[in-house]
Amino acid sequence: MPSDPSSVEDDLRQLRAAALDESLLARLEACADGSLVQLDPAEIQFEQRLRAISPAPLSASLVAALEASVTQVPFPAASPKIVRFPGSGKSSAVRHGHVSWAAAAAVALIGAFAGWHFTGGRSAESLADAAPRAQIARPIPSALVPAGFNRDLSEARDEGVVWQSNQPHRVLKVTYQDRVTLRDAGGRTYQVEQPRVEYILVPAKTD
Amino acid sequence: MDKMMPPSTAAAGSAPSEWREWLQTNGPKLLLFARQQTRSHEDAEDVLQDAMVKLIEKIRHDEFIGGPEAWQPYIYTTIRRLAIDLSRRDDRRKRREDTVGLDEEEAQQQSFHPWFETESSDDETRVQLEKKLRELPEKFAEVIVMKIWGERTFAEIGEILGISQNTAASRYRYGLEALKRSLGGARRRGDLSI
Repeated sequence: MPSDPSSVEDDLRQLRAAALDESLLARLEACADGSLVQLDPAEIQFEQRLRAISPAPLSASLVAALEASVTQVPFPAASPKIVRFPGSGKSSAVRHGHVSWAAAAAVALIGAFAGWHFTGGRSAESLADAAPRAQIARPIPSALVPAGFNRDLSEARDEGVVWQSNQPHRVLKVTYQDRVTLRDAGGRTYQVEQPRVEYILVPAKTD
Repeated sequence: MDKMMPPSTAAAGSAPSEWREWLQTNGPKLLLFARQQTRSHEDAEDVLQDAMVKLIEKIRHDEFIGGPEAWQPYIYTTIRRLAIDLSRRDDRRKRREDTVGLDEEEAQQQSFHPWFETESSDDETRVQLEKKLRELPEKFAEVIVMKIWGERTFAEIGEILGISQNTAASRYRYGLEALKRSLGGARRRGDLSI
């Protein structure tokens, strides 16, 4: 073997990594197209035969011992979709209901203010009559005009875990508080608050 | 680990609690996995109980993320970790002891605690299957036990073992094929019902 390092390097470079054998190639290909996790009929048949042989039941003493360790813990009710995150008292349905009502009320209030702003207090009929002109109508002095907008993060909560596409995802509930300040001709300000809720799914690991 | 004593309130003949029903439904497959992971029936029972206690403690302290559908993946993971810890301790202990006599004794004890239900198959099939599963490399056997009797998906098995679902599927295929081959002789002779 030559002692010159660059010559050794050249010699080594001429060597080629062994080609993948057919079975590994097929396996990698199956990985790529997702078919590796699908069993063929013969495998399914053998699997079913094996499954027909049931595991031995627990002995009475083991069941009693296991049961003893759970006596102080009530059996939790299963939730089909969202699993409650530990530590929160109310059910999500109840809280979502509150949020919905609050949001609906806030939207209605904003709608009322907006309606007042754009119509300048006129009736629906007069607004309909004036519709073509409304697009070029100047702000009416007595109308409310937006004076400010503010958004606060009021709450961020981990709502637990949902299973989606065979993967656990943590549900994060983020509640914002949008605050619109409106000012009338007399300089008086009005504030309208509207909660807004976003749910974010983050892939998670269960432990 | 010493087993906890049964509570005096668990009177015979009373309606089974939800916990008891859950244990009777899911306990056998969890114990089977524990049997596959440990060296003896007693170790398997201890490991299963420890895993249950860990789960219960988490539920009790509101620390468990997820509902009942997440219990089994958690218990499988915990059984595996506890079995590995136990195995390491046993290795250290066995290095200090003369184990020949103990191994024979353990092997005798195992025959009194079959892995599979006696009603669901004939004795020969049950014995052969248990023997061949024990002989399989652990990485194949654990995937087979979780997939077939634990009814876990490849994705869940991957999570439990810390591998990808493709690797879990590969191991399952290899394992199933190896099991089929090793049972082949007896199957061809018609000694087995599978």
